[in-house]
Amino acid sequence: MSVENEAMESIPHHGEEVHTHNHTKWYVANILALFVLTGITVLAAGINFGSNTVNLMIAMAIATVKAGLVALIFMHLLWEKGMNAVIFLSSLFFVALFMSFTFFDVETRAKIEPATPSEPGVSAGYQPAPLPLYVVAPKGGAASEHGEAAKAAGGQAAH
Amino acid sequence: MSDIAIPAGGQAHAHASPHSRHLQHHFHNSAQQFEASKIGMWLFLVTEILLFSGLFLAYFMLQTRHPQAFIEAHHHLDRSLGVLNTLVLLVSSFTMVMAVQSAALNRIKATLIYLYATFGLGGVFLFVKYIEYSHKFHDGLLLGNLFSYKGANVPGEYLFFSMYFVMTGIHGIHIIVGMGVIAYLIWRTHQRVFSSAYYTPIDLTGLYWHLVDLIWIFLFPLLYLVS
Repeated sequence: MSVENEAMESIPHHGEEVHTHNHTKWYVANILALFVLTGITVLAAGINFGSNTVNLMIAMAIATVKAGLVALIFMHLLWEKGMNAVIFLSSLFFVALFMSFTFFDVETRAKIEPATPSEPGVSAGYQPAPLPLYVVAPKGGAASEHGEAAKAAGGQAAH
Repeated sequence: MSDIAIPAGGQAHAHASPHSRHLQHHFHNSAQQFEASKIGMWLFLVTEILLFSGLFLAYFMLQTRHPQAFIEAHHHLDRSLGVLNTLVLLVSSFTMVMAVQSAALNRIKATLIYLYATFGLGGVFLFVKYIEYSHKFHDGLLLGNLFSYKGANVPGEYLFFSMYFVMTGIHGIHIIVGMGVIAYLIWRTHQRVFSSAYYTPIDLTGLYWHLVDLIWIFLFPLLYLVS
C-alpha cells in the first residue's frame, strides 16, 4: 500500500495544474558552455602537459565535464528523482572497474615477463611483437624493406 | 519528481480522456508509466555505455603501447572536420531537447520543427563522416590488414585506423538508427499522436540521441586531438 500511496502523492491529482517548466534558458546556456569546452579541448590538445598519459587524462577530464553537462541538463538528471542517476552512475562504476583492473593486469606483467620497450616513449610492461609499416605489401610487387614483416603480420591477421 | 517529466496525463487518470488510450492496464497512471519507460531506457543506455567502454579500453591499451604510431596516424585526420562534427552533434542535442520540451508544453508545431532540425543535423554529421571516410579509403588508410598507405613512417599506424573505423563506424550506425527513429517520430507527430499528455517516445529518443552525442564527446579528443 505504501508504494501506491507514495506514487499517488507525487503525482498531480485530477484538476491540479501541471507545472512543466520551461528550461530553454538552461539549454541555451548549456550549449554555449559545451561550445566553450570544445574550444578548450582543442586548445589543451596543443599543450604538452608532461607526458602522453597526462595529456590523455586532461583531455578525458574535459570530456567528462562536457558529458556531465549533457547528462545533467539535456538528459534531465538535474531535475529528476535519483533512480535514473543511480542507474547511470552504476554503469560508470563498472566501467571504472573494468578499465582499472585491465590496467593493473597489463601494467604489472613486466614483473613476471620482463621485456625491453620496443619503441621510444613506451612504458615498460608487456610488449607486443614489433609492428610492420604495412600490413599488406604495396601493389606492383615492389618489395619494401618491411615486406617480410608485412607478410608475417598479414598472415597472422588472416588467422 | 521532475517538473518537466510529469505528463499532464497524470491528471487524466481514471477518467475517460482522449489520451487514456496510451495507458497500459498494468500501470497506475500515465505518469507512472512514463517514469517506468524512462528507467527502461536508462538501463538500455547502460548497456550502450558498456559496449563502448570495451572499445575505449582497447583504444587506451593500444595508444599507451604505440604512442608514436597514434600521434603520426592521427595527422591524417582533418581536425577542423572533427570540430565541425562535434559542434553539429552538440547543436543536434540542443534541438532534440527542445523537441522534447516543446512536446511537453504541447507546442506540436515547434516539436516538428525541432525534430526536422535534429534529423537534418544527423544527416550533416553523416555527410561530413562520408567525406572523411572516402578520403581515407582513397589513401588506403584502412583498418587492420586492409591498411595500404605507402607513406607510413611509424610502425603500427594501422592500429590507429582499426580503432578509428570500428569506433566511428559503430557510433555512425547509432546515428543512422537514431535518425530512423526520429523519422518515425516526425511521421507520428504529423499524425498528431503526441501531445503534452503523451510524448514518451520523443523523450526516450532524446535520451538515446544525447547518449550518442555524449560518446562522440569522448571519441573526438581521442581520435582527432592525440598529442
